[in-house]
Amino acid sequence: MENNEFSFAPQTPAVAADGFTSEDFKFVQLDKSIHDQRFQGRSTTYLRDIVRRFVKNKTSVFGFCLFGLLILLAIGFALFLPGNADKTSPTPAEKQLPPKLFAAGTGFWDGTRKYEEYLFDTETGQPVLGSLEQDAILQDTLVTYAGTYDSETPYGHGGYVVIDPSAQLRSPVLEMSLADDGSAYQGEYSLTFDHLTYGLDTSYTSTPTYAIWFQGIDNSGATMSNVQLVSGLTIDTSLEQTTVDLSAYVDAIQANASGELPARGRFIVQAADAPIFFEGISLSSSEVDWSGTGIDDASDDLMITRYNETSDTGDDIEGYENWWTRSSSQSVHGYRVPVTYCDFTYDPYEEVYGISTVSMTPGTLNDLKTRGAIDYQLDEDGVIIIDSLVELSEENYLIIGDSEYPMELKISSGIAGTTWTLEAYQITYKNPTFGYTSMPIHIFGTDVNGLDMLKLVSIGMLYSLLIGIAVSAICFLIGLAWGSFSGYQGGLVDLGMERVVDVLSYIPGMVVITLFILNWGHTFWVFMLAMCVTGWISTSALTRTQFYRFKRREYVLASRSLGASDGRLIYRHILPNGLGTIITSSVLMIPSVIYSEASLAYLGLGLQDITSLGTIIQNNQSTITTAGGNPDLTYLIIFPSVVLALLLICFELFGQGLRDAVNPNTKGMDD
Amino acid sequence: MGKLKYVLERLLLAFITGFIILTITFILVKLLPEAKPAGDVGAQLSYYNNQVRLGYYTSSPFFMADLGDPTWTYTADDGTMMYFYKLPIMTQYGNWLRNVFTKWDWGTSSSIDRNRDVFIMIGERLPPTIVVNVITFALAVPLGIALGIWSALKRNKPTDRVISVLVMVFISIPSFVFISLLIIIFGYTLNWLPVRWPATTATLGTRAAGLVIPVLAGAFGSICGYERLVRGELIEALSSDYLLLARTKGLTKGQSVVRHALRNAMVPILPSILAQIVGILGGSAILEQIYSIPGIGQLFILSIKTMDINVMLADMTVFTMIGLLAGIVLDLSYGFLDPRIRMGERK
Repeated sequence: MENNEFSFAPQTPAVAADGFTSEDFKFVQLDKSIHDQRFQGRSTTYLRDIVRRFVKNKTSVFGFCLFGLLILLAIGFALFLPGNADKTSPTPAEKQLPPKLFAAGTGFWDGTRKYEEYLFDTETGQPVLGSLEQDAILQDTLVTYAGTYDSETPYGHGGYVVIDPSAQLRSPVLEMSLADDGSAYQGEYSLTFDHLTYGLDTSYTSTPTYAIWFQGIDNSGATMSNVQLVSGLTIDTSLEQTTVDLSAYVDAIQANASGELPARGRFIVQAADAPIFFEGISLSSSEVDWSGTGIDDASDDLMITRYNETSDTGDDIEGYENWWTRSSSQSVHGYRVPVTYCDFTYDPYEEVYGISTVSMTPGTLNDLKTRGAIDYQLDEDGVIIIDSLVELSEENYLIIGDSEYPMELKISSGIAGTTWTLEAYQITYKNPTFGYTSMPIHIFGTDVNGLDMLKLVSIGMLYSLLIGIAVSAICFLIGLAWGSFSGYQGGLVDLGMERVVDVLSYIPGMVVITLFILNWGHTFWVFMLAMCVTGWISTSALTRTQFYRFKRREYVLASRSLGASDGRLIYRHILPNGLGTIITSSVLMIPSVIYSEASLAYLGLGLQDITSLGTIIQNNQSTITTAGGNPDLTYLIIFPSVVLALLLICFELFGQGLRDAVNPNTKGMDD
Repeated sequence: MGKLKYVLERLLLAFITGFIILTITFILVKLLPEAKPAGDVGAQLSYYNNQVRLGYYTSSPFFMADLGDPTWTYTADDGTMMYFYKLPIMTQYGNWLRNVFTKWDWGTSSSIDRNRDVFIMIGERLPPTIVVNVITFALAVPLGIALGIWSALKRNKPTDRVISVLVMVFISIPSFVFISLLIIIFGYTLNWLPVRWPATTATLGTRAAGLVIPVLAGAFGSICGYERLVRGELIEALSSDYLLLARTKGLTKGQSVVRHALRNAMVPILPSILAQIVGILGGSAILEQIYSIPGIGQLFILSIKTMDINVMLADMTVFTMIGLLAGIVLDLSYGFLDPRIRMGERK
C-alpha cells in the first residue's frame, strides 16, 4: 500500500523568494516501484473464452458430442467389426442380406424378408421354393390361402384349359381300323368338351370360333398334312357338354404299304380370333367304346379330362403317348387353376450361413480321421460302417484350399439304410466359405458384392471426413496466405490480387472439378486439388476483410511506431484477432466439401480409388435401379444416406455454436 | 450517371472474367482425349470435315510427318487417302474464337446426337429444364419466405423450433438422396408417380405427375435456404430501434412488421431471388441425371460420359454465363434496392 501513497512532507524549509524551496522539488517516490494492481478477477484466454461460450449452447454441444460419437463408432466399426469390406475381394454369395440387428422372427430389423404368393404343395405341406431353401423359412410365419393360377402347374388340379388363337391342342395318337372295302383306315369319333366357354380373357372382344383338324401319321412315324374336318364351330356357353362328331380316315395305301399295320392319326383343336376355354375334354369312338371297359388296348387312358394335369413336356410321364399335347408354344395352358398359395417370412442369413450338406470324398474323410477329428471303421469291402462313425473332437474344421473353416459333423439318419459305396459321404457343416465362427449379423445388411454395409459405411464416412478436412485445411492455408498478403499490402497489389479472385470465383466449381478429374483421373489427390482451386476464395476474402478491419487500429499503429516489423504486426497483432472467424469458416467448409464430393460421386465423377459415402450411395443406387426399384433393397441407400445426413447435421449444429462462440457480437444474426 | 458507369464497368468486368474462364476451360477441355465419332465411315467423314471447317483439324491427302500421327484416316472407294490431323490447341483456340464471335458457330456433336449443331441441341434441351425450374421457383420462393416470416414472428416458440429443426434436417440431406428416396417411395413402392421423366408422347396427366418428384426434390433445398435467409433478416429487423420507434408512434404490430420490418428485411433477399431467376436457365445436373430429365444438366453429364467435346464446351459456357449473369444481377440489384449501398464506391 505504501507504494502508491503520495507523500508530501514539508520539512525544514529553505524559503525561496516565491515561497518554494528546493526541498519541494525532490523525487518523492524515486526509490519506490509503481505498478498497477493485478486484476482480482480470474484471468481467461481467448480460447478458454470461446470454449466457455460454446458450452453454454446446449444444441451445439449435443451436435459436437454426436459428431464425436459418430467418429468413434466409425473407427471402431471400421477396425474391429468382422465382415468383409474389401472391394477387391467381393463375396457375392453374401450379397444383399437385409439389415439385421435383432434375432430372426422379431419382426423388425431382423434380417428377414417377406415372401408372398408362393405356390404351396399340399402333398408335402411345404411352399414351392425355386431357388430358396426350405430350412430358411420361419415355419410359424407360414400362412396358406386358396387362389387360382393362370398356367398349368403340378400343384393344382382343375380350372380351365385355354387355347389361344392359332394355337393347337393335339389329341393322343389313335389307331384306326381298316374300312370294309379295304380302301382306307377310318374311324368315327366324337369329341366332347366340358363347359366350353369363352370371354374369360377380357382383352379379346371378338367371339371365338374353333376348328378341328385331322393329321395322319404314316408307318414311318412321319406326320401327314393336316386335313380340316370341321371349321367355324361356335360356342354355346349354356351347354354343360359340347359334343362334336367326327369321321376321320387315312388312305390305306398311303398309310400302310404292306397293309399289316393299322394306320394312325390324331385330332387337332384350333381356336380362331379369340381364346376358347373348357374344363375337360374326352374323345370316344362310335365303333369301339373308348371310355368303357372291355378294350384291351390303352384306350382307357385316352380319357383325358384335365389337360392341365399333364406335364409340360410329358417326358417322364408314363403312357406319354396317351396324353393330349400342345403345339410348340405356351399358347395352350391352364387358366384359373385352383391352387393353394402361401406367404412366409424368410431368413436369408440361414440360407447363406446356416447348416448345409456337402458330399465329402473318402480322401477328405480320411484327412479328418488322420487329424483325429473323427473315427470310423471300414468293412471288408472297404465301405465305411456308418454306425462306427463318431466325432472325436469338437473343433472340427474343413480345409478348402488353404483355409480352415469351422465344421459341424452330423450324420444323416437316412444314410445308413441305403446301400453304400465308397464314393461320397454326406456330412453337414456350417457354411465354411466366409470364415465366420458363428452366425454373423450385418446391422446395415450387405451390398451387391456381399460387403458388410456397416463396415463399408464407417470406412466411407471416415474417408469423406478426411477429404473434407484435408480440402478445408489446404484452402485455409492458401486463403490465409493470399488474403493476408492482399489485405495487408492494400493498394495496387490488393487490386491485382482481387481481380484474380474475381475470375476464379466465377468459375463454376462443377466444371473445374469435372475437367480436373477427366484430365488427371478419379483419384484422391486430383479431387483434392480440384476442390482447392476455387475453394480457397472464400477464406481469402474473409481474411482480407479481417485485415482491413484491424490494420488501421490504434494498437497496430502503436506497435508500428515502436518499430515492429511487418511479420510481427501480421502474426502478433492483426491475425490473432481475425483468426477465430477464419477458422470457423474453414470448419464450416468441411460439410460443403463432403456434400460436393458425394454429389459428384453420385454423378459417376467421384473417387474411384477410395470408398466414400458418395461412392457407396452411387453404387447402391445403381444396384437398386438394376433391380427395378425393388423396395426390399431400399436399405442399401437409406443407411449411407442417413449417416451422410447425420454427419452434415452434426456439422450444422456444431458449426452454429462455434460461430456464435467465436464471434459473440454476431450471435443470433443468422441462426 | 454514376450508376450507368458502374453498370457498364461491371458488365465489362464480367465479360473479361467470362473470357478468361472460357479460355481456361477451352484449354482444359481440349486436353481431354476426344471421343471418336459414332456411326459409319460416312458419318465420321462428315464429322471430321466439319471439324476441319471449324478449324480444329486440318486434312491432307498426304501423310505429313511434321503434324504428328493423324487422328483419323479416310480411305475413299477409289483408294485415295485423306489424313486428318489435330491442330495445336492455341490454333484451335483462335479458330474457336473466330467461329463463336463472327459466326456464332459452336461446332457439331460427335456422339450424343451426331453431326447436329451444338447450340441447337442446347436450345432443344432448355424447355424441360426451364419448366422444372420455373415450377420449383414458383413453389419455393413464396413457401420459403412465408415459412421464414412465420418462424421469425414466432421466434423461440415451439413453432419456430419445429420449423428450424426441419429446415436444418432438410438442408443437410443432399438433394440426390432426397430424390432417390422420393423415387423409391412414390415411384416404385406406391406406384403413384412415374419413376422417370415421362416421354413427350405420354398423356398430359402423366407428364404433370412426372414433374412432382423433380420439383419437390429441387424445392426443398430452396425453401430451406429462403426460410433461413428471411428468418435471419427479419429477426434482425424486428429487434431494431426503428421498429421500436414505429411501435411507439402507435403503429400496430402488424403494421410495423409489414411496413417497416418486412420491407427492410427484403432488401438482401430480393437480389438472391433475382439471381435465382437467372439460374432458372441452368439445370441441376444431378437431379436431371437421376430423373432422366432431358435438360441441359443431363446434357452436361452425357457429354462427359461420351467425351463429346463440342457439346461439353458449349454446355460449360452456358453454365459459366449463367453464373456470371446471376452475379451481376445480384450485385446490381443490391445497389438499386438498398440506398445505403453506393455502387462503385471506393472502400
